Amino acid sequence: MSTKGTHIPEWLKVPFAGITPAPTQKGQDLFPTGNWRSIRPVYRDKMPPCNNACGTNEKIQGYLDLVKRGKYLDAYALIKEDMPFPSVTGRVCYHPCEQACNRGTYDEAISIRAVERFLGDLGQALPKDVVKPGKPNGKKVVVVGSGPAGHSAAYQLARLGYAVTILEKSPKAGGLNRGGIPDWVLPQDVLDREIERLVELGITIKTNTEVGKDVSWDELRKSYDAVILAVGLINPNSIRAEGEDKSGVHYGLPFLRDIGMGTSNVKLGPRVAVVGGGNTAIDCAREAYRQGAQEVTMITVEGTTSEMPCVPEDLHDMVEEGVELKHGLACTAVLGNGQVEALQLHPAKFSGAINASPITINKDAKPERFAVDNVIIAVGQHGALKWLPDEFKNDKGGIKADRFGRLGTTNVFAAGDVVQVGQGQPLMVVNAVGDGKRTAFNVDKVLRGEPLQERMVAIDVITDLARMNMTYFPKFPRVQQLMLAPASRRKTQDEVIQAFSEEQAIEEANRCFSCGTCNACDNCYLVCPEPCIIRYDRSNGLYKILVDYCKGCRVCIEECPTGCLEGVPELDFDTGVVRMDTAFAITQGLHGRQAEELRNLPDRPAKDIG
Amino acid sequence: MAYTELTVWTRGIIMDKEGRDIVNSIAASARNEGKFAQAMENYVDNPDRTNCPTRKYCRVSDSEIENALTYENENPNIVVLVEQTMVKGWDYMRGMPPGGTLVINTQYTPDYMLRFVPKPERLAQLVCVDAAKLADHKWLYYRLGELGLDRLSTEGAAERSKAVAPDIAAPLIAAVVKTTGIVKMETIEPMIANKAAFKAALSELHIMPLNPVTA
Amino acid sequence: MATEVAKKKKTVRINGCVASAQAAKYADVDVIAAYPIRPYTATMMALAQMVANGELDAEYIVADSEHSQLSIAHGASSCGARVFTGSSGVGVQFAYELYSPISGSRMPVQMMIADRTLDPPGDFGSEHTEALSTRDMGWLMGWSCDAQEAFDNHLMAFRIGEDPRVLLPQMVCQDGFFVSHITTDCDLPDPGQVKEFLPPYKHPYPLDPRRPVSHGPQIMPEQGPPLQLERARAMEGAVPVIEEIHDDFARIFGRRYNPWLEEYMTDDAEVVFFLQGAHGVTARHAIRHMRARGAKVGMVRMRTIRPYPTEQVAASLSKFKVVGVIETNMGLGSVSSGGSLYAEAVAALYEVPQRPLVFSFMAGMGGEAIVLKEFYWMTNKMIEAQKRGKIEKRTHWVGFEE
Repeated sequence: MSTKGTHIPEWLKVPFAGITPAPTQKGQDLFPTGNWRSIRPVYRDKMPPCNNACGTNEKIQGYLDLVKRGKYLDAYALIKEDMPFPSVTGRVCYHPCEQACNRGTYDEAISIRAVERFLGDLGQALPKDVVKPGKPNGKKVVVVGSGPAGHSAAYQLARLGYAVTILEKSPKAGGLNRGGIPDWVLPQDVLDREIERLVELGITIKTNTEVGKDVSWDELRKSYDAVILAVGLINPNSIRAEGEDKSGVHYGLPFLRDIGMGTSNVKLGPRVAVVGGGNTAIDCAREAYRQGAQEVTMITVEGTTSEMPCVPEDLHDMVEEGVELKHGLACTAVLGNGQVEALQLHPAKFSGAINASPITINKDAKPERFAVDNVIIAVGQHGALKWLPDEFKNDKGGIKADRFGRLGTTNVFAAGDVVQVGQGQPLMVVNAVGDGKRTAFNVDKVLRGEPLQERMVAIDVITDLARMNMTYFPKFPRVQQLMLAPASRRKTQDEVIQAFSEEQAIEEANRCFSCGTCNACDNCYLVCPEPCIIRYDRSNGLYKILVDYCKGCRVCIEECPTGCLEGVPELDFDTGVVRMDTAFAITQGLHGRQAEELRNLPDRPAKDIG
Repeated sequence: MAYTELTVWTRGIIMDKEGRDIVNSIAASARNEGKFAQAMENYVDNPDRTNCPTRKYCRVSDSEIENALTYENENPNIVVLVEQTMVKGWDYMRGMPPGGTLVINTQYTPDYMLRFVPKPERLAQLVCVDAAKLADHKWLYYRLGELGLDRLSTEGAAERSKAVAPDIAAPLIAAVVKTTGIVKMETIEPMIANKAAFKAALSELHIMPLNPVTA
Repeated sequence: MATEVAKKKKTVRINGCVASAQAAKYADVDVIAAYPIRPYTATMMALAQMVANGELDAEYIVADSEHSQLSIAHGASSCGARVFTGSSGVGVQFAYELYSPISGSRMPVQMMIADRTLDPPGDFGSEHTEALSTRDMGWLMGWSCDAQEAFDNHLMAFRIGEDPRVLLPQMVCQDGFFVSHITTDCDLPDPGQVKEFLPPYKHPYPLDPRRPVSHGPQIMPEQGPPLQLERARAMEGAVPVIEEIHDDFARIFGRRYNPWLEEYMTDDAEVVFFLQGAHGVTARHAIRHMRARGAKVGMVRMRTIRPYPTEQVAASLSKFKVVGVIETNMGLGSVSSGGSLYAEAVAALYEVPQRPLVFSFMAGMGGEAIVLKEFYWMTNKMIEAQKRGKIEKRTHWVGFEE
């Protein structure tokens, strides 16, 4: 028998017939191929352009993702972290997010505002809001002004546990939301509900209370631990035209405010002119139709519609309603006998940058006489700050605050339009909300002795579609909100733009790319040719890459639709070393030793050769 | 050296030719100098797959190589890593006798690379050479579509060109020959296709002396 | 069929697979039937490059399988084409159906075999089992131990197989990896020399529409005996032809090979290794070292196994006291419970009055290298047997015994 006396050494033992356990069996390892790769895939979320563009950095990508999955309450709660009144901004916001939306360069931008309105209205219907006041910390803060900035600041402070009082000089709270935005954009009852929510948080609102009249600057500072001035820009700018003080001449913001507060007694004649090219002017022009005007003409210094500092869609809606436009003109005089009868118009243009330089009027040209019954002048506002010490006023009609929103070294902060005027940022509700939020947080920090924080600039805002994978996004048109027919709009104060239904909200949210942010689409998990990607918890999109096995084939990186996966050179990491022994022969050294023995052979004594 | 083993670790398909060029040219030079030499690929690493680690071997000896019919270099004196990430991947210096040399194609310095080298006490010198830059290497090695189709085959089956070291192998060969003297410069230089990169590499080597071997 | 080839002799560094491809190129084959299986694949790739580059003008056919490969070879050779094919391991066995028809129809197809262990499981390493399992099919068969010998054996095999007195297919075998994938020096001849050595292939009865014939018709059992006798005659008739052609080769190319056996340090040897293939290379080193320590050991390496050189083996091995047959193949259940070479060596020696002790060693199985230590151990076993005057057992498993 030839196999008699044979013995297989331990280190050379092989399983029966070479049959090995399956890789899934306990104790059996998969062949670690991690050392094949030269780059490692890494999940790095980038800043989506919508979140970045939003004045209060709402987590827009986040809430759109939640709406996709039917988690409306979670989505609503996510908005409420940064924005107190989504049902307001869902109607009024100028949506810088939509301008920045990457989908806009692909087919059409996501209708984010409409989805936010859907969520805001859903939140308003809740008997109790999802936001609760914080545990009281015994400190008192006063917020002067109940407009967007004040509302936002008070809201955040109440969540942090402060006892907040809002002082509002008008009879009703709401600021510009009430008195600057028409009802057919933002109905009164929607705003009322939001004010109610503030009261539910334990905030005290004192209307008909004016600083400088009912309360002094010194009293403010003495009675509270901190002050936030969100007083807005109340006083309208003049056009410095002769005869501007005649009757029948109105100013944009007061005109809208009085209508909003219910204290207006303005009666408009059939022919109305609106001087100004901004959003307030547009709102005035459209409101004029609803207040009885038959012909409304807008007169702008801007030479073309594209130069007008307004939201294009509002301009379009205005033109649909029948407003005429006259460009390149300034009103140099108001003509009439105690009562406006006509406007004197001269050609005019900006002396330098559009909307950011003085106007030059061509006095030599023949003026035009434009007959009107009323004129509404809407060329901007400035603050009513007589009660404020001069050291805190700037030359733009606003409050001078440092980059943290603080006045000098006091515990007084300022937020909103009154700080942002003239700083190069457009004046918007959402910017005021963001400012109010950040200022509230800085108040909290200063009261706790912590360093203050200014607004952070995002490092990597993803705006290049080439960094994502468009194969996974078929083109779909934007879901349009229904609107009242232009002809019927003049007759009513009803909302012009209709709400999204639930189906529409989901359909629109589904178009979101989730730019640069993992949203657990599972693409990487599905395309990985190796068993290298593990899902932990699907709902918040956590994946883990097994570096012992990942070969760096880059398929996951290329197929990630959102572009959040990046390939990083493996040598940038000093982790993930996979030292694999299985590549080497079992009989290590056996063959090498024979080379050694060859060299030593003649030196060994001649005995048995083995 | 009387008997030297050289092992080249490279990545399959896309850099396989580099590995073969290094061992074949050194073996051929050694033969031309009248020495005994043998060059072969690791048998089980082939057929190579993209980015898979593969080994090429070379043995040079003054006397006949009596362990010619064995599969691996058990005791490599010189190890070359054609792609830098492999420094993290194996114990490539396994079996190395004291006084060995490690050559890596990398843009990093030896200081940076040393942290990834297992048990560097075996090494007498660590040599880093930026072969990709010196050879003016146009393609990133994972952009397979930009490679010429004649490189995209296993074991070099589809190679049309017979040129030896037209690319990043040239600086690596220069590094090996300069730092170890395994063959003479004048014997090997005529074989190299990319002479410019070969010459340029001679002055661009980063050599870190480590544990010298007392004679 | 004229091709562009190098116009002078040269020495190149190539491995056995490429050497086989070069031989096919120098022989200006007409049809290449290819199907990939490692390690033979390297030959297939080298030939593909040559055909693509225009160095070799041949029909390159990639078959569906090895069976298909050999079928194509059979058909092409039947039409008068010089055919070159090859395989390894299980691929050789897949084509099994074709071996008898090809040799029985006297088609001188040449097959390059780069040895590989048979499954299970998957092992690229070299064992001779796959080729040896076809040894009764009527093909000429022999092993080379380096690239030069492989090249030379291929050229000679064309001449021998196509000789009108022989007309038999040939399997030119080499160990996978050890010969097929290690580069060594190989002298390539001047094409003029090859032209002188190798005349064109001409089959007496090819399939030709101008002279129609039938190949392989159905016969009655009573016609069987004469046909088989003819086949046996052909194989036996190859013996003198083989010797003649080895002489001619030496005359033209300057390299002389003994057609049957290479004897190494056998002049005063008492114990010898009897083997075939690449392990003979390591054996030579081992023998030199053991001789330096006083052992009288030598090696007899078989270069041709079909037709089996019975008389030469008997004459050679009977000179020694002990013969250790190194089996790098599996003959499961064979008479020695070991490999296939033992039985034929013993049968060759049976008629010799003074017979040596013969036993076998299973070594290099699965393609594992046989290290020097193992040669020493084997030599010791032979010396012990010599002292004892009888064998311990017919087969020893090297590396697994004391």
